[in-house]
Order: sequence, then C-alpha cells, then structure tokens
Amino acid sequence: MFRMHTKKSPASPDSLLISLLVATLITIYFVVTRNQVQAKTATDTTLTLTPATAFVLAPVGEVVEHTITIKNDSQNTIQVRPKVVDFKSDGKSGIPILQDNTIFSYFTPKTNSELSSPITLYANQSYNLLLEIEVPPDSVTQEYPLTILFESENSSEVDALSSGSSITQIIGSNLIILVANGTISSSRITNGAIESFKIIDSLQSWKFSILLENDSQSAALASGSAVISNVFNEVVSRQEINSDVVLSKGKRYARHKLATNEQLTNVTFSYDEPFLLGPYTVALEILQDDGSVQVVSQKTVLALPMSVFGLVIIISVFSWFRQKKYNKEKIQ
Amino acid sequence: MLFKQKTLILSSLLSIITLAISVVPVLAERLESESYIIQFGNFNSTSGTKTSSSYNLTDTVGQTASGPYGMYGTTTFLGSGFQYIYQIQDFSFSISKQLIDFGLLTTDTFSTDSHTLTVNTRGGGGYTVYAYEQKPLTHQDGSDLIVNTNCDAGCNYITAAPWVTPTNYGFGFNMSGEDIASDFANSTYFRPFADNSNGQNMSAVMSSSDLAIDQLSTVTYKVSIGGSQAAGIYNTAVVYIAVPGY
Repeated sequence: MFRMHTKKSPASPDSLLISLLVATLITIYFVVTRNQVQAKTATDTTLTLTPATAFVLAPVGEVVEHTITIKNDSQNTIQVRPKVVDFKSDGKSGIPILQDNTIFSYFTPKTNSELSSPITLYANQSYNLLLEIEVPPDSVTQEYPLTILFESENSSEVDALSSGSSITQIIGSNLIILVANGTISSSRITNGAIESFKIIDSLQSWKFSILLENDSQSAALASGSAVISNVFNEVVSRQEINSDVVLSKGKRYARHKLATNEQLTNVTFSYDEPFLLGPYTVALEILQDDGSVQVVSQKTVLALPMSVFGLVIIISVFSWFRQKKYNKEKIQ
Repeated sequence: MLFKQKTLILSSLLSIITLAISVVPVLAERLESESYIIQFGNFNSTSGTKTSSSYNLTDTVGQTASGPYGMYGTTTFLGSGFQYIYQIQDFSFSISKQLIDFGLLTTDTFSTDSHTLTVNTRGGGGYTVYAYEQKPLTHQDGSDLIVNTNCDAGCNYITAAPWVTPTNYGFGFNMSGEDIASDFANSTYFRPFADNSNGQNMSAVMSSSDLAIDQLSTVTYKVSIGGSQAAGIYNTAVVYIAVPGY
C-alpha cells in the first residue's frame, strides 16, 4: 500500500521535474518561434521588395546590372506585372512623386522583355528581377530617378450579385540611376537656405529649418552640422544633420540626425537656452571628401527680450490709462 | 539511482534554460530601437580608394560623407561600404482583402465594408501609400453611376469632411489607424477617391517620413443611394500604390 501510494503520487519530485521540463520545452518553442508567427488570413496579400531604394552608377559604354527581389509573403499565388515610371522630388522631403511613364531608355532589350512579362509568385516564393542597363557611349551625364512598380493582378472577381470594388495592389522600389560620361566631380550639398525669423524672443527657444539644395550632377548626402555661435564667436550648439539624400538639382529639408527616442520626422531645429540675448549665427557646415568641412550658408538673428518689452508696454499703457482716469476723477 | 535521474533532469533543464537565454538575434552593424534606426551606422575603421589600371574600388569605411553612388571619376565602379546601405532594406505592403462587397444596396441607407493596409520599411526615408479609383461606382451595363460623395457639407479627393447623413448620396472612404492622412479627423470624416477616369491625380492616404514597423490603417468604404438610382449592380476598381521614400 505504502509503495503504491509513493509511486503514483502526483506530487512526487520526479513528476514535478518532468512536468517542469516539458513546460520549459514548450515555452522555449513558443518564445523562439514567436517572431515567425504572423496573423495572416487567406485573403491577405503581402508583397515585399528588396531593395527599397538603390543608387546605381551607369558609366557610358558599359553594361550595369541591378537586381530587385520581390517576394510573395501571402498564402495565395499572385501574378505581378512590372512597370517602370519616373519620379520627381516634392522639393521638401524624400517622398517620390510618381509620373505616368519614364524617359529612361537604356534598359537592354532582354530587360525590356522581362519588364513586359507578368511574374507568377507562388505562396512564400520570391523572384529576382535582373535589370541590365547599357548606356550608349555618346550619352550625356544625367541622373534618372525611377520607380519600378509591381502591380498584382487581382484574382478576386467582383461578385456578380453584389455591388462593390476590386482592389489592386501596387508596390514600388526606387532606382536612381546616374548615367556618367567621363569624370564626375564628387557631389555635395551646394547651398542651404536657413529659414528663421530675423528677430527672436530671448525667453523662447530659437527654431529654424534648413532647405538643402544640390546643384551638382548627382545625388548627394547631407552630411554635416548646423553650428550655432553667439556674439563672442563661441560655438554654443552643434546639431548634426541626418545623412539624407538630396537628388541632383533637387531640394529637401534637413532632418536632425538620429537621437534616442527621437524620430526623424522633425525638420525644425531648435536651440534652447533659458535666456538668449544679442546676435546668434547658425552656419551650415557640410562635410567634404577630404574630411574638412565647408560652410555653405549661414544666417544671423537677433535675440531680444521682446516678451519682456511687450509686458512692460502693456503694464505702462494700463498704468497710463489708470492714472488718466484717476486724474480725471480727482478733477471732478 | 533516483538521485542520478534527478541530477540528470535538473542538469538538462538548466542547460536548456541557459541556451534559451543565450540565443538572441544578432544584427551586425545595425543600431536601432523601435523608434529609430541608424541608417549609416558602421563600425569599420579605414577608408580609401584602391586602384589598379583596370579598376577603382572605394570602401567608405567609418566615414560619413560619401555620396550615395560612392566615388566617381572612373569607368569601372565597384563599391562597398555604406554607399550600398540603401540596398539592404526591405519594403513590404499588405492588404487584408482584395474585394470590397457592399451586398445589395438599399436606398437612403449606408452600406459599408472595410479592409486594412499594413506597411513595413526599415529605411529612414519612410513611405507613402497613394490611392485612386479607376472610375466611380458604375452600373454593370454602364447605364448609370453612383456619384462620388460630396459629404454633408462639401469634401473632395484631397480633403475629408463629416458624412453622416445617408440622404447625401455617394461613394467615399474613411481612414483610421497609423500614418493616415491628417484630414481624417475621426470616423465620420470621409472623402471620395481620386477619379482616374476624370483625370484626377492619385492622393496620399498613408505616409511617413520615418521608418515604419507594422504600420496599420483601416480603410472603410461607404455608399448610399437614393430612390432614383437605377436598380442593378455597381462596381469599380480601387488601386493602392505603396512607394518607399529615399
């Protein structure tokens, strides 16, 4: 009796250890695989492109290759049809404004043939679209911002008995091609319009934005800093600019370089001090190839205690009216 | 014997736990949190141009100033380093269903349907999702169409406005969720799609100039018709285009 009770006891140490082991294994399985689990339904259509954006140098007289990988992350077979269109900069940010067609004509016949054929993607299958670019020797140097679009052909037919809409999904990969004929000088940001009020309040932070310009023949990275100095020429703040791309002959607002818990969407630079007084200068310093920096623009503003002046004026006017009223009452 | 078994089981358990704790994802040269990613982070320490009579190689190691194409001035180009950093980013776009079904339309009553859009991009350039319709909701025999909504007091394909009165007939959509256009103030705000057949340019419905991780929005389609609308089935096609920023 005693032996039986001991062996079958649910609370025996062996049973506990084995249960713990099994539970641990199950937990580890779910922890390890949790990132691979995605809530998807049979109707989900997910397309993934690599790369999102690429820059390709195409010297004249040579064949250059670029590969875009498109993956069907859905459970259904999808047929996609590629199309090349130009894009333009919006002049403020890195958002492409798509055009209807392209003027780029240097894809090889083989690539043009590929671009005109639909691609069948089975579930979880990917496809590498190889683009061959061959630029004739007499071509001129020019940058071509393109977007390669992949349009999924809708397999869901609209119900003949219901009103509604079919949905077409298109995803794009940006491809910026620099056709280069001969030596091209290294591209740099050539100007930066610093936008700020000329007179600022001493008791408020100084906010300004920088519209970067690139007049060179090719896209440039905005590597540099906004350096703020005071009336004594002392550097009081150095704010790094995020290395965004400004397309050839294009403009975009500079963004703060990444900082913890800050997002890149902020294009307004700010200098915060308890009290600002006198002239302050912000200089846009752009890093050069040789490691030196070049000041491409600067702006000086004057910090005055305007809110204090305003308060004094309001109090003075109020006191004047009060005194006037008092005098009037006294005469009566 | 019993002691040995216990020791064995306990040792196995500890080994598995130690292994599980030590198994963490490793991402080389990638600095990120949920809110940011260092786009040009690299930890290398040299730089320079390597040339021969037939090639020129640039490696942009540890510096922050090279252009996106790397160095110029040669007829043959082979790049390595962060001038190719853009080429490692994925961009994905997901739509939860490919068909909007209003069923049978009833006069003076709203009919609705919805789906979700999801975008992922690791690039600091962000993304934009544009939308347009091929044509207004059109009768299957082409004899009639349901006009695009003008909302209760005026809206268009760029600016949304409240639309809660079903006797203000038309077809439109609302957006809710992340990175949606700011004119969709709440669930009562609607606007019509840009009408491609009428020459209207597609309009942005989701956008961010930052990286996006599972940014999800819901599109709610709404239609209402009056008594004079010809009986029948009305259809259209709505197109969504997702493009990454640069």
